[in-house]
Amino acid sequence: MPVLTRLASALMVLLVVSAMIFALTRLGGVSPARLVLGADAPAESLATFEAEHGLDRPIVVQYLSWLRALPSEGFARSYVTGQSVNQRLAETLPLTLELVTLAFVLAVIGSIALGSASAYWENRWPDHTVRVLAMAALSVPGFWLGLLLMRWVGVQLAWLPPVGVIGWERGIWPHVSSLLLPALAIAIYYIGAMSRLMRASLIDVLGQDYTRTGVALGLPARTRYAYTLRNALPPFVSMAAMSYGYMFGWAVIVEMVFNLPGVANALLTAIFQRDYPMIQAIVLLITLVFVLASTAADLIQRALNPRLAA
Amino acid sequence: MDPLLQIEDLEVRFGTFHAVRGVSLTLARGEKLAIIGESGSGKSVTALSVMRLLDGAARTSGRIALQGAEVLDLPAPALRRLRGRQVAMVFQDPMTSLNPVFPVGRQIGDVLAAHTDLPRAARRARAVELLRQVGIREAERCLTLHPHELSGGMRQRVMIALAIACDPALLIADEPTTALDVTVQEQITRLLVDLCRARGIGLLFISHNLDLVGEFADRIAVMHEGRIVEIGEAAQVMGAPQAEYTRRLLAAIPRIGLPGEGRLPDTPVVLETRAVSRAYPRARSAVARLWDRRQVQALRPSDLQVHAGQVLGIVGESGSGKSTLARLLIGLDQPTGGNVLLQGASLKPRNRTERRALSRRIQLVFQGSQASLNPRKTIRRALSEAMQALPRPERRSPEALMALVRLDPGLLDRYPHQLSGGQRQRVGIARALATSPEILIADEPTSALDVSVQKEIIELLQSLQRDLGMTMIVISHDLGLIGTICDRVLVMRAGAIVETGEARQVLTHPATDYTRALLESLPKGLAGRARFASPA
Amino acid sequence: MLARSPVALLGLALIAAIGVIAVLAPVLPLPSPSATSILDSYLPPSAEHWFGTDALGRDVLSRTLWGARSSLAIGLGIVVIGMVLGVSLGLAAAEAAGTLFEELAMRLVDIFAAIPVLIWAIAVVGIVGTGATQIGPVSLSNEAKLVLLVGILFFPGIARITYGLALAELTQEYVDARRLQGTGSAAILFGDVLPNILSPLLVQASVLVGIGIIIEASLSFVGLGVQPPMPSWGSMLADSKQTVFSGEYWLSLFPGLAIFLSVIGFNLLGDGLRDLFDPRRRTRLPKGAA
Repeated sequence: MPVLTRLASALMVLLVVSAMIFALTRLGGVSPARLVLGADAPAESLATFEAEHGLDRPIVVQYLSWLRALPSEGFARSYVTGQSVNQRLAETLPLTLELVTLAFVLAVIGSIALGSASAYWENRWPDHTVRVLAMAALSVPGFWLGLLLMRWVGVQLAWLPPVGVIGWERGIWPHVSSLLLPALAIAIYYIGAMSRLMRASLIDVLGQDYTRTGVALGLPARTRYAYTLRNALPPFVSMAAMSYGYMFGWAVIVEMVFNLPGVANALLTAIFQRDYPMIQAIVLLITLVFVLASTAADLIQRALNPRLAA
Repeated sequence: MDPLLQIEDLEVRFGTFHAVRGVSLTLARGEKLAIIGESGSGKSVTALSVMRLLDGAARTSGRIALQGAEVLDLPAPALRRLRGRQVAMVFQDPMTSLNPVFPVGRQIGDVLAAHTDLPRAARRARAVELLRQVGIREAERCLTLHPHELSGGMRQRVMIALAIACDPALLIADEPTTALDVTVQEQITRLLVDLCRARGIGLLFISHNLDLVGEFADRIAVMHEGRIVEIGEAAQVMGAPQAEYTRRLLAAIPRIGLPGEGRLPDTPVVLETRAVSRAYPRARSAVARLWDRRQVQALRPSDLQVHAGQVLGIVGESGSGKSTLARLLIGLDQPTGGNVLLQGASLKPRNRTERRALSRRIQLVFQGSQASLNPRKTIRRALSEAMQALPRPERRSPEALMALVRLDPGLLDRYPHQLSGGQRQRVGIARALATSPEILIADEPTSALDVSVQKEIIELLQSLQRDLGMTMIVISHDLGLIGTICDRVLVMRAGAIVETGEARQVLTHPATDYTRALLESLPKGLAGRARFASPA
Repeated sequence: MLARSPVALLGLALIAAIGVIAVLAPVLPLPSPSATSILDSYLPPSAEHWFGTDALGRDVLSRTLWGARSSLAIGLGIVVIGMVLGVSLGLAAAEAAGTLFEELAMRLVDIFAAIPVLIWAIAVVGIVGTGATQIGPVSLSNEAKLVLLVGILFFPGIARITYGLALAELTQEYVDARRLQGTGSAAILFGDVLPNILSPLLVQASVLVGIGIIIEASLSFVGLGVQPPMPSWGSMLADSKQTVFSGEYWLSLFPGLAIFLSVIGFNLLGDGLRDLFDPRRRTRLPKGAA
């Protein structure tokens, strides 16, 4: 039941948010007709254009028909390029997904390792080192780090390709290696944030009465580590899931730094062309991923906590 | 024969804080030794040192020998084998002491796996057997339950099962019943004592409750400010205490003092409830309540009457509805059925003026924990604010209020955290008295305090009630307190009033089994000690 | 009190230094940040141009110092808006616990929390345009729009924290004591509850300023933030992209370092404050020893 409630509320949120972005494109900007036909187009042709695309109907009706078409036809056609939005997304989205997933893997592995080391050697040198690194990671703007990495690792040392992406057909490693720098630029903030959370969570569990009980009962170190990690995991897993959603936002900037033909590219192009259906679709998709991520975070949290798991 | 446990000149420091100062004691095989002391006496630190469970900040010196092993010098692997196998510990709060994410069966199984080479199936069988031995009937089912699915008493039974799983020679119990309800406290204490007796386990029992340990301990050690001030046979310590501090502790134990024989005067009813009840919706969110109309009945329709100038005691365990009733009586919460009448008129304040008027007639004394005063306001400010409801000429000085509760006015410019628990509770009482209310409700007024301070607060409340001629309602789980100061008693259980009557009648001739069980659960001290103090 | 946390002090010192630079930038003896001189383009750092010059021959030091103005102002502005909205709503919802208002308020928070800040900021600015927007009688510059927009997108996080803290604080006995004295809700919320929950909120605010600065820089980097001719760190980094292969490192190093130092200043301050305020961080004694 709580699971259903959570899914229902996620759906509600998506509806409201999609209405908001829809309203914004209709109310906030210039009429698409004028954008496409130019500033000095005659009033009649504007009216014809609006009638053709159903833009003369009340905004609520427009929204509902857009919503109705979504499951069967997907997103509409772009007014500006006439290209199908669906197709454009199909071209650009996979790369962004790959990039963000790679960043996510880097962040999770990095933060579990750093966070655990920090907690187990609390207030000793590994801890101090990790804390300084984490603080720096939290404070460095990812896209700047991207620029620096591009210059040092990509251009000067020439270890990894500085810009662009190498296709799958040239092999797995060349492909992944071409995404490594941008993925690190996206992940850096989350490596900092998540390793700090892992550390805090582990230290919290280590200070709990039940950890002391484990020691008092003479449990071996391996069993105690399992006990500790299992108790410390829920907040970490929850944050990790949320981060997956957030990373899409940073991906937009980082893709631009590294000239990657992902969703960011499509979004910025659409913005400069005032291609509203395209902006709508991309923002909605990323919001969808974000909402799914936070719903997943909640559900996982629930499943990991026997008190909440009904 | 060598003693089971021998502690010599134990010293423990945390930075500049000297927690344990030269403690020496021995415990023979199968002996039951109790260490008594108030918070900060060093009794728990001593107990934790025996298992080397103190955290890194502790500096320990001296000698602890357990079955010939020098505990303080043991290398880590040997220490791990010692813990759980030769010495085990039962902690105060079974909720936080059990791992919340694993079922009971796995936790017992892991302990057995750590110290024995029993195969999985045998570990499971042994776990069931252990759970039966600690008095859990549905042992098989219990294996699959998580700690939060068990009651407090059950959790502590599981904790005991974990502790005795590998047949230790010494069991340390650190305030094992303090976090439990009174009727459960006795069962758990008995279980511990019986298990140790049957298996010849030595028991080191840490407690603040002298009366409780007097019932079973062979010897008692009394600790104060890090030192053992007295140690000896239980009968000797309880009956003929040598140390001044022990005498003070003994004197502070609240005995049920019974009110005199005479009939209570028939005074008018000032506060009463008519079929008052309180139900809470089960669904927490306002929207979910639209379709989920199920309710939890915190208080069933109840009638009670409070007579002018008398003291009514409301007694019950946690979850009995006594605090709900208190909030209704003072108007902090509104009933979902029935009425609360203050001198015949409905109590519900409709606006701030009425609330202020009400605040001059009825007031509340809280538990006196750290949270009863705003940590960011001085005592002077807290007391001045309490007089806001009064017109300026009627306001007293904060100094006068401090004098009323016998506190040094020099404390007025301090912050709550700079006061002791007893001082804080006196400020709480002064704050309640600031508007000179006719009726004072005290909700568990001593439960957050040390034993020796409890008595002072009770005496203060008693004398204030007498001097100011107030009507008073005292809510407590502690029959000792209720019996000491109340004229009438009302016993609550599971949201309903089960018994009510004059205090003497209820305490000496309880009409219901539940009241009888509550009375039975009171520690009786050494055999022969009267449960009741001689009539005042 | 701050003296007890060297971390907080270090953070505060950094912030103060950058703040002073931001305020004094116009009176410092520096070339104008927008004065171009094609002859002086791409000069490396020297005694005359400490941080070198860019493609148009503008002084990078001057532009970096001027960039502090918009970064700090926008970062702080965002958090002020977010705090005002979030704290008021969080307090009101906690006081109204159990009512329909609480439910609606927290659902509203849920909806706004489901909005990925950066993407929406990019999209909204992209849609309404980077020019001045007229709303009624008020004309909003792109920078003002940014502050409002990101501030509103920041409020759900602050509202949730405030709500949680206030809910716990409202169950304290001293709050009941205040109610029994006939004190009104607003006086209790702002006079008793808020001061007691302010510490963790300040910690949060400090960290959010840092994130706000990064968001501003990111938006300026894609051209949707601070608009030229006003210098900003983000747009300086965008310009530097062309020189990744040619190697004029000073164009990306100094503005990036400036962002890093301001953000770490606020993060250090937040961390230091957390350590000062968090009772669990004080000397720990085992149970029974205190």
